[in-house]
Amino acid sequence: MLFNSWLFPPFLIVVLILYRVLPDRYQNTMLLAASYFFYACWDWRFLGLLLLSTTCDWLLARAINREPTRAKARRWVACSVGVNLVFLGFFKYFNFFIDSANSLLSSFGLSTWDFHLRVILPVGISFYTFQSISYIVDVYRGEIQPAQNPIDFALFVAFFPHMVAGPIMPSRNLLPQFQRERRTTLLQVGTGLWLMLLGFFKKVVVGDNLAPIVDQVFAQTVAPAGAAVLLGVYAFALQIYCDFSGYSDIARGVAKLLGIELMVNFNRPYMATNPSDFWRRWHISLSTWLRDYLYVPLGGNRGGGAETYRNLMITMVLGGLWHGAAWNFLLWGAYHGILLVLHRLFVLDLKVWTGSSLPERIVSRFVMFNAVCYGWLLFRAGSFEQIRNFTAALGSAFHLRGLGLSESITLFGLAAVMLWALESWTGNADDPSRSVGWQVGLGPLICSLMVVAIVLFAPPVAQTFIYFQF
Amino acid sequence: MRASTSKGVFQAWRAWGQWVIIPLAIFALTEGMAQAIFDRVPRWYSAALQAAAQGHVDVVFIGSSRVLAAVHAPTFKREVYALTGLCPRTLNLGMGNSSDAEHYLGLRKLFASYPDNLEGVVVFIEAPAGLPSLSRWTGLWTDRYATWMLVDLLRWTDLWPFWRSSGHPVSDKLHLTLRLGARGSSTFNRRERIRENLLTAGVSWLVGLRSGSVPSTPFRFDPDNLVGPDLSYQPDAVFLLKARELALRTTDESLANQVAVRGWETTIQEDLLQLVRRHGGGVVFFDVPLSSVFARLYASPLRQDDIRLFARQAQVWGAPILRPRMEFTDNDMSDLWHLNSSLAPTFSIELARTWVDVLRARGEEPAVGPDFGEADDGMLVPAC
Repeated sequence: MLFNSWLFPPFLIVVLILYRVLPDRYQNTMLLAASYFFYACWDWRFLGLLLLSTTCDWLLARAINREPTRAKARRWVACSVGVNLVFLGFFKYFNFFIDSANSLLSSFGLSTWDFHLRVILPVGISFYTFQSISYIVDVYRGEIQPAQNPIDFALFVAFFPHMVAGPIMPSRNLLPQFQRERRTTLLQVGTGLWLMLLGFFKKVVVGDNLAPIVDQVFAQTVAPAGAAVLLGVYAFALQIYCDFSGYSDIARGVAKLLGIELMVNFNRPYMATNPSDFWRRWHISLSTWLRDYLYVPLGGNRGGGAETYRNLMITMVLGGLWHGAAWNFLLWGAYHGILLVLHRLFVLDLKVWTGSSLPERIVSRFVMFNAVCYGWLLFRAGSFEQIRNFTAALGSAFHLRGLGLSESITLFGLAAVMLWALESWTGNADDPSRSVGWQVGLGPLICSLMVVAIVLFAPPVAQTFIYFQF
Repeated sequence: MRASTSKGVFQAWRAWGQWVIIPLAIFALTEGMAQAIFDRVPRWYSAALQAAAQGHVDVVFIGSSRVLAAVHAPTFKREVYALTGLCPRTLNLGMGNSSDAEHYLGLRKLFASYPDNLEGVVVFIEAPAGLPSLSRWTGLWTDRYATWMLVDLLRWTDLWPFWRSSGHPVSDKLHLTLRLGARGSSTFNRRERIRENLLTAGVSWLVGLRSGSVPSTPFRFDPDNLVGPDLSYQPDAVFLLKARELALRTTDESLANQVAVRGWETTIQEDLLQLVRRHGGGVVFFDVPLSSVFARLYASPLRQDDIRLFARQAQVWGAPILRPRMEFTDNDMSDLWHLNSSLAPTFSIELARTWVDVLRARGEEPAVGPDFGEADDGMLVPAC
């Protein structure tokens, strides 16, 4: 079930009503049933996989907690992480590794393996796998007690607002919320509704209407003009931001209506002044996860220069691969790894650029935005050939002929200005009621215009969220 | 005390009242604009209703976007007039993404609204290679990518059979039901059209503002073009390339999954035939130009059998199948889906000739209603 499908509003209304009328002790059971129903609407067959993964992790966490020594507990951690990664690896990476191995074998003139599985990627598997791993590691580290009630834990894994595309919540943050009685405050209802409105606006008004421009540019087999490539890449930057942060906003809004707080996942990422700042603003829940459960265990920045650079590269390459089983995601991750290494080397270690004055900050933002956008070209491209052609085109032929460029640029400009104005006005805060003019009519005016825009600009058929494929 | 109470009430009113008044004002304004612009210029069956209100309708073409592209109603009408001296008032209701169920429900609405002005109407049904599409009420009622097209045509009593049909997922059924409930609002009911206009004509208008050449907006009623300009169609090289790729992919899939097209007595076409007959009209099936990519769908032994069997069924129904004698190449269909607009008059002339030949072979003439215009000298003359 998609948030932007016609099935979601009645589903949410029924869930909210049941949530209000049921006694506290039945709320989690109802939410779990609703979450499984939500997931089964996409494909009920993968509920078995979800149940299996959940049961394993619940039992293994208890086993970890029972072990008297950390060495013995570590075995269970390895077992749990192994099981989770086997599921993830099989469904997400099996064919990728076979194809890659075949390419390698054929390049050496060797015979290739003639099997290819028709595997459907279970939606949300990357998200709930990482969340389960965080729980196991947190239990091992003693940061959290294992859940006694399997329903609480199953709900932690499958909570429907964030299950299929995040935010990936640390167990120490989310699990306790399911283990205590909850009361939804009026502020949570207000901010929840605002976040949902904002999320739908970003997704269906901005993101979905930029998609045709992006698709048209990236459908080119030969390189279009440099201006078209630039437009396509900028439009994709805005599309993926609106699509993904829109999903996170809706997820957080729905959770707030249920009295649950999910972490902020995006904080105006294109205002970042350097790569490190960007990853503190973009997909914050994933970058936090990668930092806590990969970068730090690898050694983080404790080992000094070379080791830190190595750890950054490993973390970012694996982070790229997490997005999808394709070489361009790996390349995208490596590219961001290089940006982080360069930033660390020249700015933090050699201090060749301070970026503290206003002009320097403006220059830094401009450079960083364009660096991130080049990363989106790697991310969105369909082949290495397209990456090469589009990169070459960026340095040539900046004319506006073909592809209805004037119209596309106008549409993109409108979308960018609308979004920038909206985010500047609210300061990206959950509670927009402190924004200038909110109390004297601007709040209801903006909200009404957003509702009208959603009604009028939503595509005739609900478009899936980009991050569902990951 | 009293003053402070009044102040408190005012503050509460300002806090909560603005959340009622301002949204209502915005929605009323939007609705007013939507009605003023879009209801004034109806489309498709709503436009046909407007045309039917103005006088007798003699010929109606129904089918897909192929019919819309290939049939030029004014040329068809003039050719029949040239051949017979009779001028059939002709509407082309071909529409992209339309379904048989929608055409049935649309015609039902026309008959119910203006039975006298549709008495004896001849309905031309698209039958590529002599084989119309086969659909049943238990299947899809509308294209899954254009469910909203059904809203204007449904009655509340249709909802139960629609929910019972197995073709649509629950989300489609819910969507249609909610849309039916909000049918009174132009903002909701015409939102797809408004969106298309805003994103294409609206943006072009903005671009024109910048360059100083503002194009005229396409908001006017044209009885010869009931579906309005196709704003999504961009005859540029990229669009055509994608359309051709899609044509190949779609037909490849269809060829791999061909099943027999049989059992015409339980189809929507059968109901449509009965509906038209109840109002004294008749049904004609007609071939439409196909590119080689689509023609191969009808060349398989299975489809050839289907075509033979349908020809027998059409005989039982007493409905002729018109096969205009025209040769087209793929160059005449730039996107491989539709006949190029420059050739629509040629096809329409040939179609009119074939129809008149069939009628004459039966000893009949086109049935034309009393639709006369007034000439300068006050004499009533056919409006051809």
